[in-house]
Amino acid sequence: MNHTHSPILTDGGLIRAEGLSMRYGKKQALDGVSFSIPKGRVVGLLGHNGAGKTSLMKAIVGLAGHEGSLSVLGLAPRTERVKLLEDLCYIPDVAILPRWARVDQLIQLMGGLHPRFSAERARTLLRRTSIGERDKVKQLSRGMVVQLHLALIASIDARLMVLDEPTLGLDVLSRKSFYEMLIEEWCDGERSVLISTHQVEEVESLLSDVLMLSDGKLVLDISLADIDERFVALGHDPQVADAIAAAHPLLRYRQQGQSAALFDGAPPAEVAALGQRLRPNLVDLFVALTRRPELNPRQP
Amino acid sequence: MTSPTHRSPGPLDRFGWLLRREWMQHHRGWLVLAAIPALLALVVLPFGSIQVDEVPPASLLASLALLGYVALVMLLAWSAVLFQAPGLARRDQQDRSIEFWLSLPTDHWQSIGATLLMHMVLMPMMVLLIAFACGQLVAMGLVLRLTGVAGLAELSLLPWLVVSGAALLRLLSGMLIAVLWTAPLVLLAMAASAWLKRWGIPALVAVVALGTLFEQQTWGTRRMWMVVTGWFSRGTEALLPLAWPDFKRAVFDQADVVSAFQQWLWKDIARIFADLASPAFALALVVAALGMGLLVLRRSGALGWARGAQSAA
Repeated sequence: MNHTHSPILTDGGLIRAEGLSMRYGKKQALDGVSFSIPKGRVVGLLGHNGAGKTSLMKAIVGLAGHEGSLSVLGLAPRTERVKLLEDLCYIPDVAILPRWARVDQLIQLMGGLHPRFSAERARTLLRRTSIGERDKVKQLSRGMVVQLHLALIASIDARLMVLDEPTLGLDVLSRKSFYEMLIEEWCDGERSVLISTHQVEEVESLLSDVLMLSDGKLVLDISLADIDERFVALGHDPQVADAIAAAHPLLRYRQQGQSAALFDGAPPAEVAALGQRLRPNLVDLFVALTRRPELNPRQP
Repeated sequence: MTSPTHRSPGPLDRFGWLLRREWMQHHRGWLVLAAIPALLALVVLPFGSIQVDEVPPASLLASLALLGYVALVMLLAWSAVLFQAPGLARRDQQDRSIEFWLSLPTDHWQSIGATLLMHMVLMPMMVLLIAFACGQLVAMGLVLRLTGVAGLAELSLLPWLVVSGAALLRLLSGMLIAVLWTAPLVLLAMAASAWLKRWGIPALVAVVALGTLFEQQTWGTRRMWMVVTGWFSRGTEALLPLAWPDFKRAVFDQADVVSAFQQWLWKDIARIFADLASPAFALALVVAALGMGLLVLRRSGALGWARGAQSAA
């Protein structure tokens, strides 16, 4: 797979990683990952469980050591964590708000501890939910706690938002509402968002770029606009399946009741003539590129 | 979302907010700790049965009541500090809010420092101040109960206020110095808990016990044991004036108890401060700093980030 012509990589970035590696004992969590995220982008970080997404995010916010070079907002995350977090807001995947706190206490604390937090903005966002300011976190449902956390984080006037599975536990309406707020109100063309989620279909329309990790390696770094140019999906009749398979597609799957195959680059003309070109979606790409090696003999 | 002009809080601002966080989370327990003895005293004094063979003079009675009450509450507060400290090291991990706190722009030293300052110094001092105020009422109530209005009238207000002020100063100083003497023990216990979870305290006890045993069998000395128990005993001595053996002779056996008590208090304040100029105290500070460093190291994940690889990856 060719990553050298990524539009992201060639741009000056809010995040720049070169040869980033992380290891937990014998497990290689990240393996020589290089990418760059410029301003004004909404980047999806996709990967199966254990692919290294959370490790990468922890390195980006300075909570984990790493090898290789990593610069976030021009700072070294590990040694300049406090300064970095003044311009970066972050929702970790396992974050649970302190159960003893009331909502108004969290707003007060955030206001005191974070220089870019707007209590007024948090109250505005919370008025869109059923969460009251005097409510205690321990009395809220899991979904409401997530809503509260998202409201607090979205009230930070940061340059970069890092979200690790931010909508886990939210119902579909709340997820939609959060993503709408994120794109329409928080993103202003200057700020960037790095978002990791398994709900690929839901975020596909929001993303400008995708980073895809598989077993610690970056297997895709591409803008959504370039996916259609680079990847070709062919819908075809079952009778020509063998001929299609002989062209070594990345993935064979079914789409809208029809057999389909996904190619990295244009397939040979005689193969292309056997089917109709479809728009490749992110889920199929995700499956094609991050399947475990034992399931996908084309993967190294 | 518009971008308003932001003030950037300085380190002290943030430290203040971290202290406020501790207050928000824990003030109720400390206020209960301060209030319960006062409520018990309010019930016992008017309605309880108090029997003494010989009622001492009002000034001695008031001094004894004040000291006894405050000593009891301080003992409770100090026990709470020692009991809570190891748990504080893992508090945010246990309620799973640690990731939230780590996502805020606060320094690890400040975060741990605020927890320590609030729980080891400010909260106990708050309890002490409340106990001291309540102790005045308890002292007056006891004098009234045992000697009547006449006994209460015997107490001269000004000398009592002076001696009370000196006692308060002695108790506050003692609390602060006790914290310093016991800081190595508390911080090592916290660090052990932070790193080894529930095995931390048993491991620490085992290290001290085995270290002492090894030292005794190898060199025939017990320096390690002496140092550790020395920190604790000097802390207790600084905390409670009654631990000084000459106290009774120097105060209660004198004709003018209030005046003797006042003189003793000033001398004792000087004594506990002078006690700090010792190699044992310097070692205590070094070990406390080591404990603090281990706590910060654990929180920052500098060595421990590889733990929990499966969940993190």
